[in-house]
Amino acid sequence: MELSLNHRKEGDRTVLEVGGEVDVYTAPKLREKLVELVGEGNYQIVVDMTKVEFLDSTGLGVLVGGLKRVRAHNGTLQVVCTQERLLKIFRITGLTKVFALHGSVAEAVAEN
Amino acid sequence: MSTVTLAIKPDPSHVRLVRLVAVALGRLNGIGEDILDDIRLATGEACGRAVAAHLHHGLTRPVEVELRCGGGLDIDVHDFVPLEQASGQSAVDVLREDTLEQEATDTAAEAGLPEAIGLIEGISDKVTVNTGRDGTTVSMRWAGT
Repeated sequence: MELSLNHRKEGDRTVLEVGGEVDVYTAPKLREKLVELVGEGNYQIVVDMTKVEFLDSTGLGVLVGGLKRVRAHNGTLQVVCTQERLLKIFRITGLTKVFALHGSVAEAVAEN
Repeated sequence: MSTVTLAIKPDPSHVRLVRLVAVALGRLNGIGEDILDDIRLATGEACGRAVAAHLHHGLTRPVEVELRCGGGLDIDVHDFVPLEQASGQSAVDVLREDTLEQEATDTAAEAGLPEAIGLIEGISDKVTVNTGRDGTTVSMRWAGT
């Protein structure tokens, strides 16, 4: 399934809703979108992955790249992820210590 | 035992095809859904690494994948990028170095990308990596149900 990317503002956060498969082929599009959002001055980003069906290390690398970009502007990148098969990947790679993982967009937005 | 052999163009858009075949073969042979998720991910990681290696080194020949199912699932992903068998290094170390070399020139490298092989090790029952003059084979095994 191809990648879908939609974004919206919620309060002071920019929510980027990702859908479909994030792999070696589609991850560059996600990276492009994150670069674009940061370039437009969006430094508090919530990446909503509840509709992501597949995620590999290329996708993880793009998320880490996005985190570094927003941090350069004292920003934050939070991840909403509820699927165990994706959470497992964050755990195996140790990235649960790097990303703030949330169960919903509301929970992420509510965090200070 | 069922054997499927694939030769895929070194194009990132084709990696998904191999994931689909791996899952279909596993499902056909009664492998459980939770293991199929691991197979999907590991196969994608290995093929993505091989395709990236071909692209990085300018190779246009296909990446080869052999999938064998019978009392478990074995998947071998072979790329044709010759690597030096560095003295004193294990094949896995050589593969890790090649991955890092690629990452140095990939956009994801700026992010400190986790190594694909490390992820594969975490989600398969057994992984072996053999490198040589004719390239690298990443062999993965799942014992099945």
